[in-house]
Amino acid sequence: MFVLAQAGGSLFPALTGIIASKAGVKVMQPILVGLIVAMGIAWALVPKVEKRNE
Amino acid sequence: MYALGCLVSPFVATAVASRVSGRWTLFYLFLVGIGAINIVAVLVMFRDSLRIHARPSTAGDGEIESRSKSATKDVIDTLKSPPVYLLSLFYFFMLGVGITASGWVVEYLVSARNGKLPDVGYVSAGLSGGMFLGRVLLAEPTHVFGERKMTMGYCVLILALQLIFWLVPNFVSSTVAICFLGFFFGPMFATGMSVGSKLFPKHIQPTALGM
Repeated sequence: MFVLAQAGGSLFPALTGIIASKAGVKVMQPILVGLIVAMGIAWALVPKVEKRNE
Repeated sequence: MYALGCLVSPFVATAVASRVSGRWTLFYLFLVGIGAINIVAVLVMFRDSLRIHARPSTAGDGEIESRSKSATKDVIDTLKSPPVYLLSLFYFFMLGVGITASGWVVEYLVSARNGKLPDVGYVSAGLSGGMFLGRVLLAEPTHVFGERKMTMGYCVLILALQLIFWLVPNFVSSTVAICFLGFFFGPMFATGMSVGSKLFPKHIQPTALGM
C-alpha cells in the first residue's frame, strides 16, 4: 500500500501546484476539501474486519 | 519518529529562510546532514548482516527456483485481492491530504492572506506538531472505540476544520484549525495499517503492505 500511498502523496501536491500556477494559490482550499471528501468515501468502502478469534 | 522529523523541519526551514535572505537553498545542507546521519545509523544497525559473505552452497538451485515461483504467486494473489485496492485508495487520498496541506499551507498564507514569511513559517510546524501529538495520544482511543467509526469521525472532523480554515479569514483561527486538523489526521496512518494487517490473509501481508 505504501507505493500507491506515496504516489498519491506526490501526485496531489504537484497537481495543486500546476493548478495554482494557473489560477492562484487560493485554489488549494477547494482541492483540499475535495480530497478530504474522497478520503471519507474511500474509507467507507473499505470492507469490515471480521472479528478473529485470537 | 517520522512525525517528530516533520515537526522539526519547518523550524529549521523558517530560520534559514528568514535569516539568510536570498540563500534559502542552504536548507538543503540540513537535509544532507540528516542523510549522512541516516547512513551512519543504518550501517551501525545492520553491521551484522553486512559481514555475512559466504552463502551455504547446500541450498541447491531447486529451492531457489521454488522460492521465486512462490514469490510471484504471492504478488499475483496480492494484486487480485480487492481489499488491497480499496485500502490503497484510502491511503492514496489520505497522503494526498496530508502532504498537500503541510506543503501548501505556508505558501497559501503568504500569497492569499498576505502573511509575512517569518511569522507564517511556524504554521507548518503547528500542523506537524498536531500530527505528532495525534499519533501519540489518539492511537489508544481509536483502538478502544472501534477503528472504522473513529476514522470516519476523524474524516468528518478534518472536513469541518478545513472548511473553518478556508472560510474564516482570521489568522489565529486558521492556525488553530490547522493544528487540530493535524491532530486528527495523525492516527489515521497507523489505523489504516492495523486494519490492513487484519484484513489481509497472512501469506500476502508483507506484499500487500509494501504495495
